[in-house]
Amino acid sequence: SHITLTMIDLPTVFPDITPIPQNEGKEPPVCSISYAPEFVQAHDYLRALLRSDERSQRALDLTTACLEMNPANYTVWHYRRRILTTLHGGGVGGEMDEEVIDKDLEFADTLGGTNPKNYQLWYHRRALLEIRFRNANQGGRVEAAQKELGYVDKILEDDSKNYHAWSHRQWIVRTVNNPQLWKSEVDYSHSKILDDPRNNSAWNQRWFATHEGQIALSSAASEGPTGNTCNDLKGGRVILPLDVAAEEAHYALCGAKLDPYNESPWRYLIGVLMEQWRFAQREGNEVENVTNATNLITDNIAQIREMKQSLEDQPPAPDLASVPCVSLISALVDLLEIFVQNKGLLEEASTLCRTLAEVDYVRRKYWRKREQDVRSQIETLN
Amino acid sequence: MKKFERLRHIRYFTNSLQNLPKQYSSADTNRLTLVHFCIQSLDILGVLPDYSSDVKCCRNVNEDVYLNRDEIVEWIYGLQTLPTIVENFDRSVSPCSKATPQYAGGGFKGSNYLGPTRPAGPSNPYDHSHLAMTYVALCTLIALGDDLSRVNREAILSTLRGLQKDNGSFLALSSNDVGGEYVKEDDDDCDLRFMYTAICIWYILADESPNNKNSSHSADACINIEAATSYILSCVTYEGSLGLTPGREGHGGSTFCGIASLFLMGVLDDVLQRPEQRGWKEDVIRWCVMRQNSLPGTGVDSDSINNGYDGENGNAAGMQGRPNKLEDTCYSYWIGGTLHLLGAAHLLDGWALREYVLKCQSPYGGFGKVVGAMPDLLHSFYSMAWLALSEEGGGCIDDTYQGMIGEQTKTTVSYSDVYAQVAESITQLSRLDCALGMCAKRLSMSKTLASLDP
Repeated sequence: SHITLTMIDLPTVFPDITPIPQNEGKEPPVCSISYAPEFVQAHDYLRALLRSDERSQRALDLTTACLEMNPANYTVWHYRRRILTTLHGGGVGGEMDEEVIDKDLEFADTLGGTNPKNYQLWYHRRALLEIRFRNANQGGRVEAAQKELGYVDKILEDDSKNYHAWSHRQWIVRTVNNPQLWKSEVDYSHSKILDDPRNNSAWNQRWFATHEGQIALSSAASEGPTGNTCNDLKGGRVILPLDVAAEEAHYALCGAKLDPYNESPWRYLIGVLMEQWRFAQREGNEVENVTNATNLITDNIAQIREMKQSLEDQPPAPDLASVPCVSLISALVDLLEIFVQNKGLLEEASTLCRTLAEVDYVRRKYWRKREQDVRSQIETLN
Repeated sequence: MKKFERLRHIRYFTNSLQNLPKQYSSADTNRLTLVHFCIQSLDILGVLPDYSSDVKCCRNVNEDVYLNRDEIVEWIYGLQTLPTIVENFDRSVSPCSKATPQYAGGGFKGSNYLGPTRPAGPSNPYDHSHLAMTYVALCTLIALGDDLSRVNREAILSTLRGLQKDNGSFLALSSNDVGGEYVKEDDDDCDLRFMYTAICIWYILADESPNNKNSSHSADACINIEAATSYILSCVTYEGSLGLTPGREGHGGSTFCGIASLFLMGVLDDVLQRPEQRGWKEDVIRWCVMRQNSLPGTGVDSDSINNGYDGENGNAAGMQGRPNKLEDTCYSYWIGGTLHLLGAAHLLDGWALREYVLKCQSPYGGFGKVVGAMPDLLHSFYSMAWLALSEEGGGCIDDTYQGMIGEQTKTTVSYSDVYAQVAESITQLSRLDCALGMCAKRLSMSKTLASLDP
């Protein structure tokens, strides 16, 4: 859309400034861009102001105009923040007027419309919020966090898988690190999964909130052996306690039942189960863990087989009759393969791989390799 | 299947090198990346010469292409920044000799959007190098046959050292330059994109890199490989893919950046064999292979219905960047490249992916993000990169189309002429160094040149 500098008449506002052209030097420019004339003019003045690092209201207004034309210029955002610090505080350890913070958050929002995928916009929000969080008490922090989470929700309504938006939520929840917020992030993920079970970002967020949230939950419950505690924080990886893992596996299966042809809940399920299994396998861990993990997996295998059978008996739609569900079968194969000493389960896995090679045609070479690997394992048992 | 429109692509990239429409204004700070996309693509297309003679310009009479190599090289060198010496270096994560001066700000910037650095004047507090621009500058100079003798290697490697954080990740800019006096480092400042560019720079310039190996593990090692590896592994998701930072959703771009970084550091095989990583290789291969869309009409899952197939895709199956997202040509490279580095590219349906990418060709040359989209340089380059890669085991060379048609009885379209044209055109493309994303032949040439550097 056509941008006009209606707010600023540059030579009038900057009579004392000599604009600096983007002089490329004697070499002809490569990949030169055909900027709009107003873009050139605004940036000619900006270059001059950046040289002197002028910090003033008129400089701030110029950054506004330039950012409206190119919200991806990280230097201009940087300069803008420095100007804000000079005019309104907020430098290292300092405070900034709440109204100023709100105004700039709003400004960032107005620029987002054309490109919600812009790194700099989200970064700017975090820069401002950091000041707000830093200068608030815990209650104020939670409130400010909820307000910002509400903003992100608004963005996600239009673009439910926006990577930056989901990452921003993670930053908020981690930074404030309040057990209530961790819990509500699990709830939020659930609501987005219900909106669209195929929203893989929402599933990932649930993983994030249930896992990293364990740390906050266990600190909150540190009075006695109550509440959930983490099994293992080594290397920064949180492992779910077994009972929570069983719940999450159940949740994933319910999600899969909503639409079995959806990859997301199946990978979540496998993720939860493999986490328990691999943890149990680790050196120095108790035999009990292996038993528990095995039982959990065996139980889920039974449920998946049931689901498979009922899909075959009652396909969800007429055109899906006798269409094997790749996501389901793929998950089943992953679990069966764990039992490397069990010839029967491996044979089942091998047969399923052969089915997949036929029906998931684009991946035939992959499934044939999987089948081959299983067969090799069967050979070693013979 | 569409034919490969070689001449149109050559014109698209050479025209783009001259001038770009104002829609590219948002790439103002990264213009060097755009130059890189053009030059690498032209190199893949075989238009750039070998530089064995003192060649000042490239003219390919048959294709009527004119490129002034020297001018482009000069323009790039004009973007090299003047480093400063850091007095009290406190980032201790990298092993380094205290005797060498520690620099900040060595490298290249993306364009002269702040005005020219030369001639000398009061230094501009905002004018500094950017890690990703340093990466593309080096790759582009190498592709243009430059010997890198004017690259301030010491300053760049020293700067690189200074950018590695305690957790092993790399900043793109030193923290003073990032956001202002009050901003702590943010995850966005040091995600896997910058890890990748850092490792590429190190690979190209450092003595101890597998590319140069003048000495093994000198005391002046520029980067802490173990810390970098540990950070990359902390980005692995429950799906087996890699997110941009720990906890984030896995996606094709970050997965490639992580795997390619491990590959370039020479630790990929070791990492995959570690007991703690058991099963990860299978997980990431599975995740990548699942990113290819189903072939329509093969009666797979109702995924086809939900992904908006119009039934006209023929045998095309493109790559998505994350589960349940739309296909996009750049993921052919991110996902295809990842599989290539893992030795699993043959597990893709390479011809179906080629067919998808070719469908995304624009009548103006170049490639769009999706079928029917206008071309842009990013998608054009990554499409070219994957097509070049596909010749080496993107699952194509062991698969004849006739064989496929034999297995799959639904189609009766005779593709044989187009197939032959496409197969031939792709064979003509220059081979790619998958991890670095540039023509493989250039690296051995530059290695020779770099070893001459005193």
